[in-house]
Amino acid sequence: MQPADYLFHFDDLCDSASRVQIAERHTGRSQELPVTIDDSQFPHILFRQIPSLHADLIDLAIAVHVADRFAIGRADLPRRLRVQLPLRNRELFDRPTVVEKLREILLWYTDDQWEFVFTSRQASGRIAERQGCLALGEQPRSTEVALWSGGLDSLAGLIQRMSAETAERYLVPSTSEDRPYRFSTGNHLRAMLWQVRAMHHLLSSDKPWDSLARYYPRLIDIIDRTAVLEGLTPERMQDQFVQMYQRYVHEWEQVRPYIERGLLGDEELREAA
Amino acid sequence: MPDGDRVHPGLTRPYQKAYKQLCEGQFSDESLATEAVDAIKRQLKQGGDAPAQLIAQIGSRLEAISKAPLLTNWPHVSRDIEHIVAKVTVPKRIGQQIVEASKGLLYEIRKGEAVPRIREQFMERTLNRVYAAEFEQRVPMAQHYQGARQEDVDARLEGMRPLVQKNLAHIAQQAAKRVTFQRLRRSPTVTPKVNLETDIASLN
Repeated sequence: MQPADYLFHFDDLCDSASRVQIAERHTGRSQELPVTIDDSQFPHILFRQIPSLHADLIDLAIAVHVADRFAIGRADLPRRLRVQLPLRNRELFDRPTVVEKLREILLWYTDDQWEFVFTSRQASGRIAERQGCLALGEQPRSTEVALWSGGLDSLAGLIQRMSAETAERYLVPSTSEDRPYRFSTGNHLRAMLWQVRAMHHLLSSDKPWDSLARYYPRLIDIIDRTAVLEGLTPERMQDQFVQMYQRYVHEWEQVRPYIERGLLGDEELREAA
Repeated sequence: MPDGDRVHPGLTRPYQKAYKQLCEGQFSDESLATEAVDAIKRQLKQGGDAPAQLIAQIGSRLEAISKAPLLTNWPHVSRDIEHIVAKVTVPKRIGQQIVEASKGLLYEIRKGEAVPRIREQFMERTLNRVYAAEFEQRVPMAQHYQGARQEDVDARLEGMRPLVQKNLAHIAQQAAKRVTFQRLRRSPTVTPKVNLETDIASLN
């Protein structure tokens, strides 16, 4: 394996600011940054301390986020990132199957090479791990975090969750704020309109699944990799995909006026009218 | 406005000029297609030859599978392709399209369809996907350069698409044969003869 472009060496992540050392191989530069995790709200929601495994997962998520943000890619080439992170359940995360799955998932999402070195955490846990909270007073309102990539799939997912009233409030962080469609308010909508048009075209053919699979061959991977776990035959999953996308396209015209209001600026709405 | 200016925030630098011309409206489909294909060539050239070599490597694998598909573990091959791409340093945007194109071909082989000239097909499909992902799908924007209407921009994209595809097929043939993205030539354009009898409006 080629040497990493960036090394991220995390100290134990505590309640107060902890350190991460970042070394860049190409320039030989290194820098140190403070990292702070505030998970003190979790006990107020769960009415108990957070388990150590959850605390490890929070640390891991923060480490991946920091590495992804601070490693600057060169000329669209994949980055090779090495993350050293102390964990409470090191032996669990060190399992080859877990490490491999983690690398694979991150490769899928980022197209970068990730390498992890887990060490044993020395510091005691954060307050959220040590101190619970009595279930007194008002129950907090349920809030669901729904990631929105700016595309049609995630929007349809969000609408489905809201229709099913799975929570009282929805926090919708968008991952696309610094992506290509960033300078004008209507661009998310344009991107979705493009997707709807492409999808409509594919689903209008004689063999909708075949058209979908040729255009989005990763759908075949999803079926190959999950059909057994879902307890479904591949054919059944194919049908479900087709039905799901047909439903998206069908519902699109119904939800479009409502979505447009949120996604277009006043000036653009006037133009559209 | 000079050619170097960035007028579309969602497009990379090689595609800015093609976009400007698309919005300006006075360019023919042929000119627009030529500019877009030149942009793809620039992008490919910048990425070096690693992607072309990768396409040749995966193409050989697909060829072997197409000759003896019966014992193929399809999910395994699909995952293998991802691993092969992950090991090579290729620009992400091109790498993603290589993966998609190869999986599309794999699906066709899996279905028992005959896929002639797999390596060329693979190269051509990759280039078409690069065009769609880097240009066509990124063009839609709320307010276009020089106030061009989205409907007009869409119509021009439709008009130039077959010409882009024809040019990319020509380039793909060379790239697959020579396993490089350097010194690729566009398909020759036929210059119409002009004389006093020629209707100027019929010229592009």
